This record gives sequence, structure tokens and C-alpha cells, in this order.
Amino acid sequence: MPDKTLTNPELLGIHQLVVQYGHVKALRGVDLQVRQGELVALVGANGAGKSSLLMALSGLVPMQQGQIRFGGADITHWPTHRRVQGGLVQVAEGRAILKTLSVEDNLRLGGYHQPSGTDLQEIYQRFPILKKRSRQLAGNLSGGEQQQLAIGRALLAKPRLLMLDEPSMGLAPRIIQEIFAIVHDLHQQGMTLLLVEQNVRQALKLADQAYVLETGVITLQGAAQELMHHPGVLAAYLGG
Amino acid sequence: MNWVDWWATYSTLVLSVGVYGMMALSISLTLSCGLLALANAAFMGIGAYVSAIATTTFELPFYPALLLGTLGSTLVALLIGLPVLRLSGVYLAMATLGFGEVVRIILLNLDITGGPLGLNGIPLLTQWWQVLLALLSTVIVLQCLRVSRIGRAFEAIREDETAARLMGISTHPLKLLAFVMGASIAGLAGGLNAHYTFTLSPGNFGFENAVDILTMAVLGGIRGLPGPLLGGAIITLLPEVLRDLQEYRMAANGLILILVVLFLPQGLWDSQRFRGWFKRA
Ligand SMILES: Nc1ncnc2c1ncn2[C@@H]1O[C@H](COP(=O)(O)OP(=O)(O)O)[C@@H](O)[C@H]1O
Ligand SMILES: [Mg+2]
Repeated sequence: MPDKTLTNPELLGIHQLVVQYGHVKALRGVDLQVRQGELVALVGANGAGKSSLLMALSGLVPMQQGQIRFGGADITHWPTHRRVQGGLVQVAEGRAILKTLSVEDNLRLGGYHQPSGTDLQEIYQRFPILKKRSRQLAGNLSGGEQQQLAIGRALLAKPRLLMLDEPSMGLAPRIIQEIFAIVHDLHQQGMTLLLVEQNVRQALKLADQAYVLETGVITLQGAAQELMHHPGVLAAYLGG
Repeated sequence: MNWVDWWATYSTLVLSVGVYGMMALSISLTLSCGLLALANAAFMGIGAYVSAIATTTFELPFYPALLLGTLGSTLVALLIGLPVLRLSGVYLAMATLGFGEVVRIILLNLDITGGPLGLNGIPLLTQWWQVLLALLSTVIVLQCLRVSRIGRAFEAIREDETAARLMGISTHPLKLLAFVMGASIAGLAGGLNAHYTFTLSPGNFGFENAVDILTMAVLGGIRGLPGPLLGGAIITLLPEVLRDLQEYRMAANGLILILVVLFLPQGLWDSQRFRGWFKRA
């Protein structure tokens, strides 16, 4: 299946990104591009630097070098809240649910910077379970429900690019299917997504384009369908 | 004992319950956004001294003097909040305690503050209803804040600062807001306090007071506004109830802190615990 999005304009462009924690270089010159309407998968083993990349994109870890363009603007030096307002929204690894707040308060915080206030109905329609549990403490939700809450909350920030850091982490196989179905639906509805996963097979199945990150370096990139049959990917991530 | 005698004996105590209720609310504001800032006693001192100097040395009327005291502590909070709130956790606690010591030493060494002797003969202008009004206003303002999006943002910052920032919350200005509002409340409380105690000395607003105020909020609980008020009342009345233990007051407070943290981590007033009781019943 040829990628219909290849001719779309660029939404996110990362150029030679370097992130370093003390002496540890987590990212050593990463280039990555996400086009409008694309679902891009970023896969790699534990410790490869995937979360560091998303955190740098959100402006939560300092970058030593490089440039980030988003929607035509150079956002390299923007503070986090300005990036979120601009539509660069992340669902962090581990979901970052506010456990002692109610589900509804969590959702309202998602639309924190929306001047028009937040309309939760659309989210409740998409995730009926959240409506049912709206008054409960978010900490009492199951893992899958928390992931839905995290995604719903991020959607209320009106993302132009939604970044998901390992949404399937720690979930049962059946729930993982549900979460990937949500990601698939969002993509079908035109949302641009950057999906970080260790669940390589599933991520490549959904994605248009994909990147493989190994110890801070992009080692492979291309159409997701092609990478799925690449001998290197087969050997390292798909069990031969 | 008739009413007049009772009031003559206990008015200071009653007014202190109100004033320290305000102090406990003041620190609960910063605690509710995850900041362990211990400068409230110092801000109370600034408010007390500024307003007392205004009414004594400059012979200003009471309300302008209270306003000056409140503005004074607010302004100082704005100045030190900008750099200090870059810190968090223990470092913030240390820095704010250090600031408190600086304030105490300045009060101890200036002429206008009366040096180590402090200020004497401060007019007794504070009326009970003024304390009540100030307390009620504080409660109303804080309640409005709690249910607003800013209050929710405070909770988000306390719970998980990274998550808060990922929701587009600009955390630094909000922390500064909590810190400065807390200082304003403390400054007003200080001004009221100065005008019913007759004297002020720098020692009133030092380390012990800072720990007392923290104890009030932690004992009462910061999940709602009744908690700090309750904690403030208990810690203020405790020395009266336990007169014989006067010398061990700090130890008693320390013990209370330990017991509360161990057995009632949310404090005495925990709405979620109460809800649990009703559900079981
Ligand atoms: N806050 C941090 N301080 C120091 N080292 C870190 C920090 N966060 C991540 N690292 C290191 O950076 C590397 C990349 O980590 P991470 O971005 O979390 O990878 P991934 O998300 O792919 O598992 C790892 O070696 C990790 O130990
Ligand atoms: Mg990670």
C-alpha cells in the first residue's frame, strides 16, 4: 500500500537533535519528520532514547544541539506551555494521570489553556467509560481506563500532533488491542500522530512511516510496511 | 465569671485563633501546590512590624496601616519568590527558612523596629469583628480559587509537575501566585496580630513560629479549608490547655507532627475519609 501522506506538508521537523544527561548521551543527532495527517512510529529497545526524544520535543529536557520546527515555526526555544498551546501535545510514558483528582478534573485540566473552556461531551462520547466514572478518583481506574483518560485529556488540549509514549505499556493483550484501535481511529479521523512503542509489530502495522532508534541514533527509517519486512527489524524486534 | 471578665481574660486567645487560622490557610496555599515554603512567619512579621510602625511612629490610622503591612509582605514575597521558587523540596524549605532568619536579624538590628527590645505601646486597635471579617474574606477568596481552573492547576502541580506542564500549565507564575497570595494573607494577619498584643519582638516571628504554622496546616490537613482552621485553633489553644507542659511546647508540636504524618497523612480534616465513613454506614 503506497503512503498517501508522502506529499503532505511537514508538521514536525527535527534536525540533529542532541540530548545529554550529564555524561550520558541519550540522543546523538536525531533527524525525524512527521507530515500532516501521518502516523509515524518510533520504535526501539528500552533505553534507546525514545522518551528523551518526546520530552525534548515537549521542552521538558534541555537539548544540547539541534533544531525543532513545528507547523512552520522554529520552536526550539519555546517553553513547554507555549508548545502545548501551539498543538504539540504529549501523553507521557506511564500516562501521568493525576491520581487524587477525579476523572472529570483530569479532563478539565487537559483543556486548561483553551480560552473557550472545555466541552467534555465529545470525549465522553468517544470514551463512554470515562463518563461513567467521571466522579471517581482517577487513581481507581484500571490501566486501560487510565490510558483512555490520558488520551482523552490530551485530545482536550486540541493537538495538531499527538505524541504517545508507549500507550500499551503494562496492559493486558486484550486491552492493548483496544488502545491500538483508538490510535487507529484517531489516525483515520485525520489526526497526526507520533507513536512511540516497544510493541514493534503492532506499531508498524498501524503506521505510515517508521523510525528505528538504537542507543540515541536512528538506524533505520522508511515506510512502515517495508520496515516490517526488513531483515534487520525482523531479527531484532520481530523475533526472526 | 461574667462575659466582660471572660473577654478581658481570653480576648487575646480568641483573636489569636482567628489570626493563626489565617496563617494556617496562608501556608496551606503553598502546600496545596506542592511547595514546602516556610517563610510565612517571616511574612507575618513583616506585616506586623510595618503596620505597627505605621500606627506608632507615623501615627497613621489603622486601616491604611494594615494595608501597608499587607503590601509590604506582598512586595517582599514577589521579590524573593522570583528566584527562590526555582527551588523545590528540601532546598526550598531551607531557602525560605534562611529568608526567615534574615528577616529576624534585620528586625533585630534596625532602629525603626526597636532592635532587640522590639516595639512597645502599639495601640490596641484590633476588634474581634475585624479578625472575623479578615478570616472570612480569606476563606471566601481561597474557596473561589480552589474551585477555579487555577485551583485545579495547583493540584496538578502538587501531584505531578511534569504532567502539569504537559497539560500546558505554566507552573512558575502559578507557584509565584500561591506564594505571594500566602504572603499577603500572612501580612494582614501580622498587622491584626500586632494591634492586639501591645508589643512585638523579632523572636515572635522566627523558626519556632514557622514550625508552629506548618504544624497547624499538616495537623488539620490541606485537602480543604476547614483543615487549616481546625489545626490553627488546636495549636493555638494547646498551650492553654496544657499549661504545665509550657516548656515542652516545641516537643509537643514535634510529636504531633510525627503522629499526624504517620497515622493521618491527610490530616484531621480529610473529606475523602469522611466520604468513606458515609459509604460504609
Ligand atoms: N533524567 C535522566 N537522567 C539521566 N539519565 C537519563 C534520564 N532519563 C533517561 N536517561 C538515560 O537516557 C537513556 C535513554 O532513556 P529513555 O529516553 O528513557 O529511553 P527509552 O524511552 O527509549 O526507554 C537511558 O540510558 C537512560 O538511562
Ligand atoms: Mg521510554
